[in-house]
Amino acid sequence: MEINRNRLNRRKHAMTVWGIAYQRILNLGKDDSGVALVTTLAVFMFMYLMCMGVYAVSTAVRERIHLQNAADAAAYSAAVVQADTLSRIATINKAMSWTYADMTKLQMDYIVCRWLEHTCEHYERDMNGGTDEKGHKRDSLKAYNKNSFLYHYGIRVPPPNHIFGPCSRHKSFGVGYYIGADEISPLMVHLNGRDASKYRLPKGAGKTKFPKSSYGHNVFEAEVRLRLLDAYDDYLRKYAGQLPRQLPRLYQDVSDITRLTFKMLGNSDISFGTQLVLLDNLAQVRNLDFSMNNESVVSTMMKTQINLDKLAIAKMNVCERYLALDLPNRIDKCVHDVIDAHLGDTIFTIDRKQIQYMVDRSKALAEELVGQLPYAMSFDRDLGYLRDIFNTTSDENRFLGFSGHGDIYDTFDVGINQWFVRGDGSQRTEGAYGIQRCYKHMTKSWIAHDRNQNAPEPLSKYHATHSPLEPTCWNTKKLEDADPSCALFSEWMWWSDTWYCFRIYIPYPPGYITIHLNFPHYQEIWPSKPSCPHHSKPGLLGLKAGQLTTPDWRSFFNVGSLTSGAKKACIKKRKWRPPKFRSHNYTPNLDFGLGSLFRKLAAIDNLLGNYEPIEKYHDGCFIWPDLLSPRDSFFKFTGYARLYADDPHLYNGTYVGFKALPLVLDASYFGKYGTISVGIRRENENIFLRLLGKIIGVFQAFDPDWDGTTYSYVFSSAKAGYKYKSEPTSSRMYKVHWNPLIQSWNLCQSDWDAVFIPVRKSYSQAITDVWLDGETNMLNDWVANSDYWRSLSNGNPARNISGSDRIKAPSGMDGQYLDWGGLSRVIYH
Amino acid sequence: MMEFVLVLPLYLFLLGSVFLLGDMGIKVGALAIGDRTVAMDAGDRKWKSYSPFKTRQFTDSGLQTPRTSTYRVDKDFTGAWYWFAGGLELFDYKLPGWFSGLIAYPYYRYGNISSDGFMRTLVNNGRVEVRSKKIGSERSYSYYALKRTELARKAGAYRNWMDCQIVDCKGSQQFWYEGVFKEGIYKEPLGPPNRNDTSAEKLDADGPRQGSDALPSMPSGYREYDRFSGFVNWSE
Repeated sequence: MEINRNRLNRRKHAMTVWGIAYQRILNLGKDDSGVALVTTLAVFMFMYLMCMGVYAVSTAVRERIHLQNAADAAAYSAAVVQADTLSRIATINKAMSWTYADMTKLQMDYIVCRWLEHTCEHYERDMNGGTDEKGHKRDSLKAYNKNSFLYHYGIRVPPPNHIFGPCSRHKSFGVGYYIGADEISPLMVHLNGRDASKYRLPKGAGKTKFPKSSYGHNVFEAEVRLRLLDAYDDYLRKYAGQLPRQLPRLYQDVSDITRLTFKMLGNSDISFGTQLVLLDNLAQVRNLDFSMNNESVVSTMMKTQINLDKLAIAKMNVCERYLALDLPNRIDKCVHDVIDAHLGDTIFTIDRKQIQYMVDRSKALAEELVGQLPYAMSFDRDLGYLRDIFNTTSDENRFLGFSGHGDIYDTFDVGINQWFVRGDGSQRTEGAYGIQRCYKHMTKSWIAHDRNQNAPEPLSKYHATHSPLEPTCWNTKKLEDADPSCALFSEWMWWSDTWYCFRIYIPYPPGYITIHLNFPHYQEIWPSKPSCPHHSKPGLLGLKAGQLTTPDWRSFFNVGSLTSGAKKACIKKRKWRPPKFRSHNYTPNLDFGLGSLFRKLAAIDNLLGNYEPIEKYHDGCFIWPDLLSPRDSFFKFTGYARLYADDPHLYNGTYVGFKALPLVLDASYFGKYGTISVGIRRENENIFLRLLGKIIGVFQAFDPDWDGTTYSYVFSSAKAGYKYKSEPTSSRMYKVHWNPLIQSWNLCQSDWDAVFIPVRKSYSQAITDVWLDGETNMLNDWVANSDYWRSLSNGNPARNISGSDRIKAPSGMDGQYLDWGGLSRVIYH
Repeated sequence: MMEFVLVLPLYLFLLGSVFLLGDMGIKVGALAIGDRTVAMDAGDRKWKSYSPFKTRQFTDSGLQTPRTSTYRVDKDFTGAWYWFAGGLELFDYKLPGWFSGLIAYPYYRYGNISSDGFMRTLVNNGRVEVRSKKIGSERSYSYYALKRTELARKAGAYRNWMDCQIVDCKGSQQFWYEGVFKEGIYKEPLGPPNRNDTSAEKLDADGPRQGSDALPSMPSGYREYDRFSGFVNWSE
């Protein structure tokens, strides 16, 4: 009965499901029924947890690998972009060095060529009586001596074909007048003040007037032309006839780069410095002179090529800066693209906004600080890791080494550092940033004159600390002992006498005899004009010292008139002696005394200062009787002509090189600032979160941090490494260390490739295969600083995304001190 | 007790499933690493054959060699210094015999179908294609990165200009410009090709393409300008 009562009670409780379950549970221990149920529940729970656990663990592992793959791929790809940029810059550096070397050599030859062209031209004028700037033939020694003693005092002497005047013999070169280095060196000139060095002028000079069309027959013209053709070979054959037509295209190229650069600048916060350099370059390009007037074919060809080289260097400068300034943008873009391609396409994944990434990289170039940073380790992120080189001997040698040239003396030969010096055309720029040379003799006023007042602000504004160009003096043979003030100039002398030749008829024997009388009288050998800048007003006694009146001409009479302070200084330094002009001895001379007096008066007149030297560094015109010379010389007039290579008539923009601005790497590249570190954090995909939408209770079992918002962090670091040229091409050894002893790679080695860097060494400075710094705790900063992180979906800062405040640092990173051992448990690398 | 006996096969099935799931998880993890390996190999400009790692990671464990699907894309960087390399490993996971037998046992016992035949019907010839790629991804590979190209290594390439021709090569104005500045540069997003993208170069199992033959033409005949000896003498 008792049993039946119990069964009735159970039936009452069995009225509901929970009641039945309750009764069954109460009765489980009373017999063996329900064993399978309990066992099944227990086993299934175990199986379920095990199955889910295995799946969650394998998913976590896979996702971790995917994250790490994405970070590694992003860092590596960014380093490839960085390597590509450095390789491009290195290639441009090589091309720039090559172009600079060629341009400089061409400039030096161009200057010499132009100077010799004009030397020949004016020497020929002297020989033939010369022509003025309008091409009119002048009276000269060869012509009728109208400016004779009697002429000065109102007595007009008939033309030479009449009674008085020089006969044909005495108005000839070598008899009535003479031109040359000295009396025994006809057709020769002194170059650069070397008394012992006399150079024969081109064939034809002084004997026949050679027009410009005949320059091709000129000795040095022909040789230089051959050399040019030999050097440019196919280039000239292909483009010689098109050189002028190439210019618009080159200008277009420059504007293309300029437009790109400005476009880039429009999206960048770097503006001032870039525009400064850019405008600096463009201003110089704009001032390039492509005129071909008054030059020979060869010098025109050289000038055209020089200007093409200048344009190329200008483009290279802009191109390098564009590549360097835009590099961070390209790195950021590349990192985003690669991560997005790895993680952004899954359809069952979490919100892409919760995939966040960071890029830790520095600027490549701090353009606003260009030219202000020496080579050194600069521990400032904003300074970038690319540097300019400077206008010094060591840097120029290094720059030339980019293209395999030797040092400056091997490359440019005689004249470098003598008259082709480091400067910007207005002043010396020794030590300024960028490599630039110019003919040194120019002064600021000449530059301003040459640029017709339209030139931009001179660069001296930015290089106020550098000294101006120094005046000219004299050359010496040894490069090492070159006088810093030497320059290019040519000199020659001339003499003249005034002959009055009388022809007397003698009845017996019938015929004529000629009496040749020499009046060593002052004569205005080169008739002055009222517009002469040297002697625009008459001096004492109304006498005028004679000189050629073309503005580009400098001449002074006799060698005794040394007024240049620089020349006197050189004499004191025993580096120069005035050339000794001896009198020639084949011309009879008669001294009438009175002529001598007038000569002296004229000399005094000049010494009183009635002349106006047009340039500070050029001698004025003088007439000076050589009272200490032998008697023969006393009765003759001597003239002394000098032509400088930087005569305003010759000078143009081609005399100034274009500033080459190659970029090289700073040591800091091989430390913190060259490394590209990429981090990704993403919310873990807990399978229970996917199923339930919310993780509670036992479903948190596979959530490491037990809060439902766990993020996995991965980091990876890489940078571009270089390869020594000595390494075989098959080598895969790329250096990521700064080697201060071997700089041949910096930055002319174009073989760069991406190299992974241990994350813990990403901030360490590497020098000569040694990591200087230990491990740093940059991971703490990366994880804790929300400014680093951006959303993968839209690139917005992560701190602006809702829920980001719940992101916690992984275990082991929540303290100030980074425990690498503990960190290794959560960050896989 | 009889109930336990009856559900025991179910327990075994569940337990086996857990093991199977774990084993496949390990394989997927290995494939994720393998994807990276083959992609980096395929994009390597000096690559001659697949890395031994690619086969060892599976063959060492006595399993079959995975099939490899690699791509190299330079459609946007023709003749450029770097290209896009992607990789994906496909692993035909052969279900273990006990598993297929367990699944097919009822059909095998009471029907005329064999376990293998059943599995061929159920899945792809008894093989389950396993990949580490995300479900639903349209990408042809799960790993890709930028790599330097074969082109950059060749002597006539722009980037190697004058490394080997340092004496007789003149810096043409257009040369560096065309070869350096106008060369493709990373600006636009690299859209990885999808399954239907035919522009991607699919590398066959025989080996990779040995670089592009479409090298830029190297100008010749440009020589350095030497100063005229007469001018040098007159410069002293």
